[in-house]
Amino acid sequence: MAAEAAAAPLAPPRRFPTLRRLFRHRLFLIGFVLFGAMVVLAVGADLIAPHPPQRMQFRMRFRPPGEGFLLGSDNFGRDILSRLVFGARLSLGIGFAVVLVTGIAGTIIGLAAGYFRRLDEPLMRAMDALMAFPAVMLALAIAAALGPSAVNAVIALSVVYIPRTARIVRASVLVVREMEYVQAAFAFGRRHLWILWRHVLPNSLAPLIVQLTFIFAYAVLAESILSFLGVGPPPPTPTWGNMIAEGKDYIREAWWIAMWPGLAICVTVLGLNLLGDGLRDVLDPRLKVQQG
Amino acid sequence: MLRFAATRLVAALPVLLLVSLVSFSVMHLIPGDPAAMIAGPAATNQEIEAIRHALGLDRPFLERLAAWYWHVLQGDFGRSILLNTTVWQAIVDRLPVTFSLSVLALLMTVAVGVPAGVLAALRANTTVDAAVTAMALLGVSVPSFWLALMLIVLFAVVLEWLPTGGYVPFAESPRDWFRSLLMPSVSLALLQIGLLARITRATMLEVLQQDYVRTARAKGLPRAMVIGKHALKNVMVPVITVIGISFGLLLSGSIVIETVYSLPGIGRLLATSIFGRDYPVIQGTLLLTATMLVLLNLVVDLLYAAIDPRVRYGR
Repeated sequence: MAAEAAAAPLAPPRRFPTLRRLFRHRLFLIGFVLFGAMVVLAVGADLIAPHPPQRMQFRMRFRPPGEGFLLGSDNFGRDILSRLVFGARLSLGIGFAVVLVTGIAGTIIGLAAGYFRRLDEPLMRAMDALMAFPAVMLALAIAAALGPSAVNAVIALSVVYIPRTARIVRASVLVVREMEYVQAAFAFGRRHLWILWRHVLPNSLAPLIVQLTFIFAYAVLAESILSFLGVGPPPPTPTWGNMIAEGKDYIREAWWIAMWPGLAICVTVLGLNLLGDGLRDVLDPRLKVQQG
Repeated sequence: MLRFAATRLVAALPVLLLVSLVSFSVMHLIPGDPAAMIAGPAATNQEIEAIRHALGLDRPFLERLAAWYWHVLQGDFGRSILLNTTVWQAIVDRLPVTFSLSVLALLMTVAVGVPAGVLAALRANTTVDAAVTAMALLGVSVPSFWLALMLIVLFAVVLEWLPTGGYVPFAESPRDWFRSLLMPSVSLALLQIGLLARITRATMLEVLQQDYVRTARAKGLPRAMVIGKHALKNVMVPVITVIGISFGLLLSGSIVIETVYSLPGIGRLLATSIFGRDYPVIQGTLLLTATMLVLLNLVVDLLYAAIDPRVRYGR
């Protein structure tokens, strides 16, 4: 480190300076490893799972972790490890879909509200109204009304997190809008959409990326709550939340059924939180205090 | 100050209007015939028709909405379909449980979160700081309902120190009341403690770099005085905001926590009425909790302005 810093002024400019700084951030690195490991499990589920996730072996019920079943077996004699990795696919998939939908819709709404003054009041009041509800409570009501499925969970969670994203985008647009280069572009006769795309959006990106990383973490947590309460993707398809719900009834005799998926959630969310902290430190040092 | 309060109150009105609109409409997202869904697969056409009429689903949406507003403004939230009582009564009956749970969790949050954050900031970049930061990060990453289950395994099943669930009213036995709420409130508080400790630490670090803190130190004030009077007072502003946000998180959390610990509170009421498709209860609960949170935010804003005069004149 020390030698590198001393040699820095002489060295040729490095490529990808932000990426380098990120990977020198220790907590970011830990987050990258934790979250990366879960992504590998989710993507490689077919290769990693030692058993088909739905195969029931009634003579093998409630096997503790160890021989035959690395993480034990559940109340139907299914292999928990296999269900865990396929659960990762669905739980992370839903989280990622929420991030995509929220990112796109939140950006559009935030840009519109921040850039066009007339839209600001009505749009932000609507966002305030959606944010007035406790997040999980609203998501639960929407998901329950639409019916239990992965797509509906994504819709419900997106409705909850779009306002929280739009607010962040709007805040940075309000700052960027007053910049001289935006006024210059306007004086040049550029159209609004061009200015938004070329100037406003890129300059709002840093806080957006940070916020979306945290939203990924919230979405994974919230999805597990929906699934736990039975309004997420229905069993027998494994999600971490519905695995915990199934394990709940056998918590006295077979605690491991509920324990493993919870640990998986912890690792994922912790990883994402660390990634978010690292991204914030590097991309957007002004934002020190995390928003709920 | 009065003027500030009035502007804030006026700004909250459109939000409240939208909140009520959302509360009413959410349940109408149900695809297909909600009356048939409520009645279940075994119901006869006559039963479905009766439910449809009872819910007013045979009338157009706007008419139902208007009728609902008319009643809500008179304090009438309708009758529950599943419970033999009014929505208002169902909520009022369960309020003490959720209130006890939230207050206990909030007390724990403030008692642990603020000192932990201050300590971490004062000992920035030491092992103490790292430990607090790590615990705080863990706190915001653990799913509360899972933690609740694991606590049950440890303290109720293995050690047999605490009951696995159920609620004992305070009036019956304060000791058992506390015992019945101890694990639930710890499960709820952990997330909040993490959030609060992180924010307290960040704010404290910022405040400690301010000129007035340096001046206070330079003029030779004792360290305890500098931190206790000059720094801590400025840390309180974001802390109050976080506590305001906390109530929303606590109510969200109470849905799962009350379900896991079988506590008869608002959260469990909402969970059971969602599965029973008990529209009036869902609408009433959503509306009342959101309204409460909007008003709470208003109070937080006013407190904010009372503590920090800059807020009043800033805008």
